[in-house]
Amino acid sequence: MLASVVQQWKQISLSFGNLGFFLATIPMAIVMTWIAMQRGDRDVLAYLSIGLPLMTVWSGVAFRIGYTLSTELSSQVLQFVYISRTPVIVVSLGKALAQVLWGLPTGIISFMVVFLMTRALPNISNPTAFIVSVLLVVIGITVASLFFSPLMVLVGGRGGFFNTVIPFGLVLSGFVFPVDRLPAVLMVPARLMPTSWAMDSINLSLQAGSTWAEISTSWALCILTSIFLGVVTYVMFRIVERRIRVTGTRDFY
Amino acid sequence: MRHFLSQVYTTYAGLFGWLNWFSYVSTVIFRPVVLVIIYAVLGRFAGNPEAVRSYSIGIAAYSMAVIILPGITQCYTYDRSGGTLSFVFASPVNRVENYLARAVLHYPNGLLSFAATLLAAWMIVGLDFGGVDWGGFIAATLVIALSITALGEFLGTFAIVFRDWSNIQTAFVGLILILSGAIIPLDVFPAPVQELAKLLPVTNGLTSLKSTFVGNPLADTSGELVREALTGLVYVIIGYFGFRMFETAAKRRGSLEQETF
Repeated sequence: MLASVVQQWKQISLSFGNLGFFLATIPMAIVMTWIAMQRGDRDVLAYLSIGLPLMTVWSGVAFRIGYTLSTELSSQVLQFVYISRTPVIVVSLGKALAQVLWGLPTGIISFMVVFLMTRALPNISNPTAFIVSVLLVVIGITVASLFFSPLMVLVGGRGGFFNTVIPFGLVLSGFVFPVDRLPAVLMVPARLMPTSWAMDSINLSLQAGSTWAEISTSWALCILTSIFLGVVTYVMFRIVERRIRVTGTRDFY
Repeated sequence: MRHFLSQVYTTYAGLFGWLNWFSYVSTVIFRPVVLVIIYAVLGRFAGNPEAVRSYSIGIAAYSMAVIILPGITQCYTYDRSGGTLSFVFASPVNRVENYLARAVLHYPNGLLSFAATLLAAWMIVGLDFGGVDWGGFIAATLVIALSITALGEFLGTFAIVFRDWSNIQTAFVGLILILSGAIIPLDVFPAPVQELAKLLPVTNGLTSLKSTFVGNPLADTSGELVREALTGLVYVIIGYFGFRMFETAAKRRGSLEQETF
């Protein structure tokens, strides 16, 4: 897995063009911050100052990770991964981690932009819970993004596949607002996203008076949904592998 | 005319990467709907649920840029990366005709996206169309879409010259979102930034669009609309010279398959 992290890291480091995918949501972060500043609710601004940078990371990472498997396939190098004894999901996870590591600084840029606008740092009531929650968001971003990697191959996703997936992901992820603000029809799929629970725990760690029980419940649900999404992703990886190695029907969607 | 129409069709069908059902419908129809949902829920979360109604017109105008600009720039970059631009340069085809043909079918995509956004805003946040001066509103919409299309032609040249053209396009789309007045009013920015913003498509026309939406006659903001049209004209002309300059440079240096500048 470490080797695939290094390989992916070298590949993305070579291209400045990748930066655009990560920075594309910063203008959106600016206008969203401006909207929130109109009423100046400190809790809302604190939530956005954490959520919007994570939104920037997610949108770039989801796009890049989503294309990893299909790019390997079209470049004729995926077959070598299947020949090796390392499971393809481990290789892909390594690539996903590299993309997340590469994307994290863009989150810092986004955070600085929001800070320059609001001139206020979020008041964190429970720093320990906050740090753990941010780590869980990063795990959630990685797992949720990896989900798209085999899906892209299975549905024959072509250019433009992510044009709606990313904005829709922003709605469901909880980065812009807590998902309990969504109508019920959207809240159900949102609760399948690990990030929605992790953002809840971030929100709780920002608020004074939150209990460890509430925070740890959100953490537990984040971990459970991550495992669930990870299992679904693993099954999809196996289907892709079956199509390539067994049935030879990878080109049939 | 037949040559022109043939190029309109072939450049669109062959070089528009999002021309499959999933990508097209999701990009042109669903993405604007999702944008309205995001801003509507954000407005509610931020304690200002009515705000999204005032942003809807701006979001609709912005949604045109989001579909038109990448569509046209793809048409240029795929022409080069697919190796077909060489044939264009080798042929005696009229360059103005070829240049303008690339944008034609992307224009209605922008209008469709605009309509989808307004429909979503009507359905989700109850955008009120009661007082609209329809003649002026439609004229303003058509002119804004034209100026965005002109910017797309201008950016298309970058798409064939630079490998990392998508960053330039991303920057322009971002500038339109922030500076055009789509959501953040122009008057919150310092005067020099406001002047810079007026060099972008959408900014001038949006004044007219918002004014006619609330029922004011087009005559009140006709100056802004004329300026919007002129902005587009300047972009399309500069873009054409860039297109010709690239061809000359690529032929002279033999650098068609590389970054020419």
